[in-house]
Amino acid sequence: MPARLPALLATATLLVAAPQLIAQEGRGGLLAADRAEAAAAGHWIYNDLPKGFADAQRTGKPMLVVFR
Amino acid sequence: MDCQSFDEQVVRRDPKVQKLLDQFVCVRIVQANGMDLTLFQFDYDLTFAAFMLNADRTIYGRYASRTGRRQTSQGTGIESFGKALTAALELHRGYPANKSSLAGKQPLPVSHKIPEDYPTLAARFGRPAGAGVVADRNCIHCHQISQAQKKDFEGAKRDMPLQLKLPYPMPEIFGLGLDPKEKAKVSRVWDGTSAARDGFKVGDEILTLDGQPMISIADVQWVTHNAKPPAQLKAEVLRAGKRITLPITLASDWRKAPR
Repeated sequence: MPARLPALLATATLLVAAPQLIAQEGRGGLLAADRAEAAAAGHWIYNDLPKGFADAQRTGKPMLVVFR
Repeated sequence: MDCQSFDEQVVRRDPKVQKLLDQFVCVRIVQANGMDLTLFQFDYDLTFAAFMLNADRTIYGRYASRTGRRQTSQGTGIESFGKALTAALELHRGYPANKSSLAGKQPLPVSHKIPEDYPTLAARFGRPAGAGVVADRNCIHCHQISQAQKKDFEGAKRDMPLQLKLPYPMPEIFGLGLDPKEKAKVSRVWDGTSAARDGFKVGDEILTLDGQPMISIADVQWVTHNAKPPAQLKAEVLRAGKRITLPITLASDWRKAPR
C-alpha cells in the first residue's frame, strides 16, 4: 500500500525523532491515522506485541519486532 | 543511507527483503508505553531498533541504528538487514538445539520492568492501559527511557556507571570498523588500536563473539556493552575461508578512550 506509506512513516518516526518534533500538536491524530493505515495494509502488526507473540506461537514463525 | 529512508524500505518490504520478511511475524512498535524492559534491552537513544526472536522470547539477534534523519547511517542498510534476517531464520531453524549458544544474547536482570516503573515516567504517564496506541500526550518515547534511567541515578545520588553514560559504543572505538552492508565483517582496522594489536585484518568476518553467533553490528555492540572490563573476549573469525580465533581486548576505560 505505497499510497498509505507517507503517513505511516511520518508518524512512526515521531517515536524516536527529535523532541521538538514530538512536542508538536496533532501527533495524536497522526498516530490514529497511522494505526488505521497500518492495519489496512495488513503487513505489520501495529503496536500490539501480545498479538505478535500469539501469531508466532500459532504459525511457528520467528518474530521481527521493530521499534521506531 | 539515512535512518528514515532505511525504515521506509523496511516498512515497504523492499524487494530485497520481502521474501525474508514473509517468513517472520512482523510487529511494529511506535510507543514505549508498557514496553517489556525485561525482554527489550537496547540503546534507547536509537533511531531504529529491531529484534529477531522466538515466540518463547528467546532472542536470536538484534539490529539497530542511532543515526538521525539526515545523517548517513553507520550501522544499517537494507543489505545487512537482509543478511541479519537470513541469519536469524537459520538460527530459528536450528532452534532449540542451538539454544545454549544463544544464552549470552538473552536479556539481563533489570530493576524496572516497564518504563512506567521509573518514578519520573510514572509521575508523568501513569500506568500503561494495554496494547494499542495511546493518546498523543501520554505517549512514551524510547529516548525518555534513557533519560529516566539517568534521572534514577541522579535521584539516588549514586555515580552513574559508564555503561549508562556511554552505552553501546560502536566497535570503531577500539579500532574495528565493520562494514554496514555485512553482518559483522571488518572493513577497516585503525593502526595502533587494540583491534590492530589483537590481530584483526580487513575482510575478517566475526562469526561468534563470546560464544554468541553474530548476525549484525548491533550484536557485536551487545556483547561488548555487557562485558565487564577489563576483558578479553574470544572471537571466532572467518579469514580467507579458514576459521581462526582472535581476542577482542577491552581496557577498563575502553568506552571513553577512542581506539
